[in-house]
Amino acid sequence: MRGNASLRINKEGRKVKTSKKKLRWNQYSGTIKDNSPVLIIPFSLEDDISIKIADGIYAPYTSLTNFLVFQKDGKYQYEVVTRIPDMDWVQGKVKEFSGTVIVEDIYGQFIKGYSYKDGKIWKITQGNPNLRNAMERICTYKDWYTCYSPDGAQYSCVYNYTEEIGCIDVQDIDHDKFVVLDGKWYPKTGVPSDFYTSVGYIPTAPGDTGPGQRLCASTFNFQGSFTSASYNTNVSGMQFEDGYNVNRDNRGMIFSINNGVTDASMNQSPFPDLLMQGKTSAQYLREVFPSLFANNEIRTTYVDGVKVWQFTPFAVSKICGTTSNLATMVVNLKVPGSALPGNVQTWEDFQEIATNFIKSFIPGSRIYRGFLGTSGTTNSLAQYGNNCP
Amino acid sequence: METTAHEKLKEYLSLVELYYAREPIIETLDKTLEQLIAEFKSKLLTACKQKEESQNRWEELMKVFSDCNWSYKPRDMSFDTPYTFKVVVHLKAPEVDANIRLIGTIVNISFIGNKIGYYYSDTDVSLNTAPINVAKKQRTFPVVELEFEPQLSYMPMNDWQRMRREEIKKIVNQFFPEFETFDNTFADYDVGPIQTELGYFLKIDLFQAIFGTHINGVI
Repeated sequence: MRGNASLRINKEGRKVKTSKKKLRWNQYSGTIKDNSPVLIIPFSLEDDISIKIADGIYAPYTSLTNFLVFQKDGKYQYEVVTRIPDMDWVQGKVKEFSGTVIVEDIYGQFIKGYSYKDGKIWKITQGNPNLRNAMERICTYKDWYTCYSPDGAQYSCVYNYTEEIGCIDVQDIDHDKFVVLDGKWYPKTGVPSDFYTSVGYIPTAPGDTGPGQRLCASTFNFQGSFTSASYNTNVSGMQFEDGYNVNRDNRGMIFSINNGVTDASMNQSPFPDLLMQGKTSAQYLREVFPSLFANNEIRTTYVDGVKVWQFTPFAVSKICGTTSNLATMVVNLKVPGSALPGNVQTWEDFQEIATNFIKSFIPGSRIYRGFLGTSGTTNSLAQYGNNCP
Repeated sequence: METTAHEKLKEYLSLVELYYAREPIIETLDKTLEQLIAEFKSKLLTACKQKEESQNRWEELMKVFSDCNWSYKPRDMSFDTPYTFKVVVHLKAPEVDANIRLIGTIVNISFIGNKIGYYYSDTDVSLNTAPINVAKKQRTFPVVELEFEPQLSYMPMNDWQRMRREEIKKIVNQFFPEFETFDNTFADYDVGPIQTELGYFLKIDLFQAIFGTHINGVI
C-alpha cells in the first residue's frame, strides 16, 4: 500500500482525459521490431495532462507517449506506449534508461509494463523483487497534474489524481503473473525486447518540431562560396519545447558540412540510410530540395578532372534546417521527455540522428556537440518560427 | 635503443590514461560550460592549445599537398577535432577513374603525445580485409549503429597507397619533425570506456582515442 492519506485514487481519469488523441499521421516515423515494421505516430490532446518527474519538473503525457501501429497475423494492431523517465536518466547520471514503460491498448487498458533501474528490468506488476513481500497488493502509482502557463513563460501544475497501474492482489498469485519464493516476488519471464531499435520510414516533408515551431534556415551563418572546402558554424540557443518545458543546449551544436563533394561520393547510398528509400545522396538531394537545383544553389563542375558537387551557403543552410527539423522530429519520438530541462539524452540523440541525416544529403558531413568547440567556425544563433522561409 | 612491441603498446596506453578520464562527465543544469571543461584532464586542454599554436606550419604542409602532382585537391578536415590536424589526400591512380573509385590516404597529426597517424580509404570495398571499427557510445534507444567502416582500413589496401606511403611520411615529417609515427599494429586495440570531448565512449580503439573518432575517406 502507498502510505499517503491525501491521495485521490482515480483509475479512469487519465484514460478518459487521454482517450481522444488527435493523431498526426503525416509525421509518422518507423522502427523495426521482431523483424517487422512498426509505425510510430505522434499525437496531440485537447487538454494535455502532466506527470511529475521531480520537484518543479512536469512532463506532458503527449511528450512521453507514442501511438504504435504494426501488423500481426495480417491484421493491424495498435499500442500506446508511455515512457516515464526518472531524474537520474534525464540528467544523464545513468547511461541506461531508468524509469517506467507502460504499454496499453487504444482504450487505455493496461497490457504490460516494465521498470528500469540500475541496469535491471522488472515487470511493474511484479514489483521490485528485493523490496516486496508476498502479502502486499502491488501497484505502480502515477500522479497526474494539470499544468497551466498563463504568461507563456512560467507554468504551474495542480495535482489531479493518482492512477494505479497494473495492480495485482494476493489472490492473483495463481494467475501466472509472478512467482513467490521465500516470501518475495520474482519475475517469471525475461527481459522484454526493445521498443525502439532503429528509425526509418521518415517522411520527406518535415513536420512541426516542437509546439508548432521549426528551426529556420536563417539560423545558419555559413560563410563561403561555391569553391569553399567546407562550411562550419557553431549554433547556440537550440532548444526542444513541449508547451511547458524548454530544454536548452548549453554547449552549442557544430554543423560541419563538406563542399566540393566528389560525384563518386554523391552517387553512393548513405550508410546507415535513415531515409530508408535505398537511394543515393544525389537522388535524395534532388527529391527533397528541387528548388535548390532550379535556382542554381547547387551545381556540379570539374576540378582537376574530378566531377564535384558545390553548394552555396544558402543551399547548405536550407539542407541543415531541414535536417535539424527531421532529426528533432525523430528525437521527440525516441527520447521520453525530450523537452525536460537538462535532458542530456535529447542532445546526445539529436547529434547522432542529425549526423546520419546530413550524411544522407552531403557525405562526410557532421553535426556534433563538442565540449571544447573548434577553431575556424562562425557563430550562429538558433532562430525558430512557425513559417520560416 | 629499439622499443619492443610491448613497450610501444604500454606507451600508447599510458597516453590514454594521461589525457582522458575513465569516468563520464555528468552534465547538470547547475554546471556552466566552463565548469564542464574544467573536468577534462589538463593535458588534453594543453593539447588543444598546442594545436592552435601550430596552425601556420599546418597551412604550409597543406600547400605542399596541394602542389603534389600525384594527388588531387586535398581536403583539410582539421576543424574536426580540437587537438588534431587532419587531411584527406585523394590519390591519383592512372588506371582508375576518379569519378567512379576513390582512393585516399588520411593523414592525422595529434597533439596527444605528438603522434602522426595514417589510415586508408578505398571505395572498392572488396579489397578491405580489416575495416575500421566504429567507436561506440552507450545509447538508451540506439538508431541503426554501424559496426565498422567498410571503406576504411588501418592498413594500405592497394598498390597506390603502398607506393605513396613513404613519400607522404617524408612530407609530414618535414613539417612536424618532433612527431613520431603511430604504429598501426596497435590501432584497433580497444581502450574504452573513456570520456572524450565528444562524449563518453564505451568502445573506442587506440587510434581513434589519439586521433579522433570522425573517420572518413575521400569525400
